Amino acid sequence: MSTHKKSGHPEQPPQLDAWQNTIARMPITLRPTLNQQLAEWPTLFPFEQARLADFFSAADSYSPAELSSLMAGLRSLEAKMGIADASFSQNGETLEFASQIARSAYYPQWRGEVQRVFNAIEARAAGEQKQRLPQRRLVLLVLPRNLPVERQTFSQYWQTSASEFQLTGDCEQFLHALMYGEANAPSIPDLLGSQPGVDPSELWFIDAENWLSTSSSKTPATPLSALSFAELKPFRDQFLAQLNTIPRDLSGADQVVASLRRTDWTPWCPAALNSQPRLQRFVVDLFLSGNGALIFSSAFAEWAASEAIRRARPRVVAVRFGMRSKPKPFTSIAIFENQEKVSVLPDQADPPNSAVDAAILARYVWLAAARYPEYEQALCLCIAENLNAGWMIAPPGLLQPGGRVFSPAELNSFVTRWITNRA
Amino acid sequence: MNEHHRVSLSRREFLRSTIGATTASLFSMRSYGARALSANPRQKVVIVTFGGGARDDETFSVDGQQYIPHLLNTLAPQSCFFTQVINRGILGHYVATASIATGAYETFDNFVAQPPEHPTIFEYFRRDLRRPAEDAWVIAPGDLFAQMGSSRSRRYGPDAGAEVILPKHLLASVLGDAGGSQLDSYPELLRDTYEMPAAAATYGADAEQMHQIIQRMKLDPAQLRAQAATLASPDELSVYMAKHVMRTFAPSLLFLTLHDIDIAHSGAYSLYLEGIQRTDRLCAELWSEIESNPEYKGKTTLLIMPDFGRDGDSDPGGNGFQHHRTGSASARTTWMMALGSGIRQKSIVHRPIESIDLAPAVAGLFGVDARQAQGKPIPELG
Repeated sequence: MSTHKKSGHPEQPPQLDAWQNTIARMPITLRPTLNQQLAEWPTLFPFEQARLADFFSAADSYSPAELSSLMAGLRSLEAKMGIADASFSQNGETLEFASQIARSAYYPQWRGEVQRVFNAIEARAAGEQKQRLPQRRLVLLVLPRNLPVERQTFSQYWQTSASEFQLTGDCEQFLHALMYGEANAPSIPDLLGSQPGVDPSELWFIDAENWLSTSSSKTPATPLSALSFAELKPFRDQFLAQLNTIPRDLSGADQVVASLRRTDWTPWCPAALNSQPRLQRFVVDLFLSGNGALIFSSAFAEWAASEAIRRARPRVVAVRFGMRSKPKPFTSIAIFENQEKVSVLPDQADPPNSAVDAAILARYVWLAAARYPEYEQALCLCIAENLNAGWMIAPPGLLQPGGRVFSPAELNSFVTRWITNRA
Repeated sequence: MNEHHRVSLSRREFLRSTIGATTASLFSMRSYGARALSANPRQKVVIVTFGGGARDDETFSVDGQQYIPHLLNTLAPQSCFFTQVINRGILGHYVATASIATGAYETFDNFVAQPPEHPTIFEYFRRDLRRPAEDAWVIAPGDLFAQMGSSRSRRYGPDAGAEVILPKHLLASVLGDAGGSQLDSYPELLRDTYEMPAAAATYGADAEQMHQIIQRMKLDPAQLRAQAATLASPDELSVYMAKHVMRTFAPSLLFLTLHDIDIAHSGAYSLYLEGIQRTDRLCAELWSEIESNPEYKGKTTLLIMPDFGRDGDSDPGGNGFQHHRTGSASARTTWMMALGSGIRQKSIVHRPIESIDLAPAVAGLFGVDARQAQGKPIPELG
């Protein structure tokens, strides 16, 4: 039986039996997470698959005595926590499992011990890997012109770590050039797509609105993982309706969550998303894990970008933030409700507060990236179009272009030279 | 210096420079025993949990002070301020609030309504002082909190507990009287929790019970409907209800849980800030009510404390202000403000206390013994 789908993503891990045996030798509380990742292998991004394979390879390199010694502290804690009598499933992560662990008096120690075990195994895995040159990466954060960002608010998030620059002309042209290319300059998707074996998870464009589909008649070259909050509206509405059926008990909630993961969302998804099942599943998990991702466009953009960075470690992640509506009188902060459904009043944009939201959430995307060593060689640009200004965090050693004023074309040239190792 | 201490230090320095607060020393306090022996029989205590967890960054830091003008300019100069209150328990709102009420870290499932395991301060107060049910009330934000007025303890239990009011349930009930279709006009007031996606409450159940509560509270349904139409948030409804209870029953022990700030889970920073500003204003309103109500003026201690904080911007595994999942110092370290009867004004307390110390401290103010609490009394409140 083939273990590969048409998309080329293997349906099963290459060493499923061996890895399942490894999991069986692990303490009980490690099993749900690891088993779930094996079960969801086809939905994992290449980075996650490689990391998991490295983890098992390193774990298997421990002798039984070494492994026993490494896990002794965790097993001891599990005994104190009464885990042996616990009723949670070991096949995957559930709210019931999380709840039982979190309610234990030993929960903080358990977290620390789990972290220690994973750190030890991953350190061994890192030691076994060949030293690779860190890849150059780009984190691009765009606050569009319709968000009236205040310079002082914006500066406070970036001034200690970034240098400010000015943009001349039409700022939007920079993003346009980056995604669609110019006469003598290929786009970022073109550049990455020309490299062999590039996966769509290497390049993300996450949009609080629907800029990508409305700003040009062209379609950006693949590979690309593109998500638009606006274009996901039918999906979001349907998802929210089903999410609101979650009952007030953990086993019931787990059943609904499992059901939401199994549901065929094809009728409600944009065609582009339906052609990328792994990306569609990413969105389902996103909606289940980030409370505001279903409701507020910039919250969606931030959480999607942070999760993409955590799970896929893309070489390029571009995020465009957006507007949210004012809370309506007597519907207002009806979070997790569909405002259009609960009020007949028309939506009214809230530019000042949308700008406040986007300013801090843009910084959160960079903080999410900065946690990982893969982003040590990342260039971060945050652009506030209404200010015709941006902030740049350059990796060590990057010679920044002279001057602090760029045209969109100059900035595009700088960025593309950077990402293609020509800067 | 540990992380909890670092978080609290910024508050302390800030308050000292802003309101000229001095350090309160344990040596200047009366002993717990002396306090208990001389407890004022007219003593009243109002406890307010500061709305669903707020960080220093948006409250007591230099950048945050703009969002709490009432706490800072009106209440802090009259208060004894505790700069380091640590919550070492589960960081879920109901279980944490119940832990504050019991003085012991409760370990039940945060998303299931149930009574706490340990006796609550309401039970100690009512049982030991033989007080009637109307003398202890809880105003709670949602149905998860419905059973926090009394414990599972066989020795105590509902007969010794507090009256628990769920203002949104009452509103839903009176709106139901006028026609169920109106419910859709008030979803913001009926929102139950921001902590878990789609954890909406089921209103309309136990209509008869709601009707009885409305009658017992001497609430005028028409007036409540009219008032609700002027309110902007669930917490405004809760404070309206708290004032009604204070004016109608003048309970000696009132526990008000504010929750608007928890909208931070939605990822809308501006709404989180708006929640903090509203909570700041509502705390001042409540203090004003205490000062203007003859049943409370001069004999009431007001205690304001967040149930816990929120994750720091750089906390690994977190998402900044949005959640309280990491268990970091930012999420666990908060503050407490004590005002009113017997409180030494313009003082600050350096030493760390825990959120579960509040129940034994309140027990001390009433001269009762929170015998099963794990927290310690707070002598500085004496």
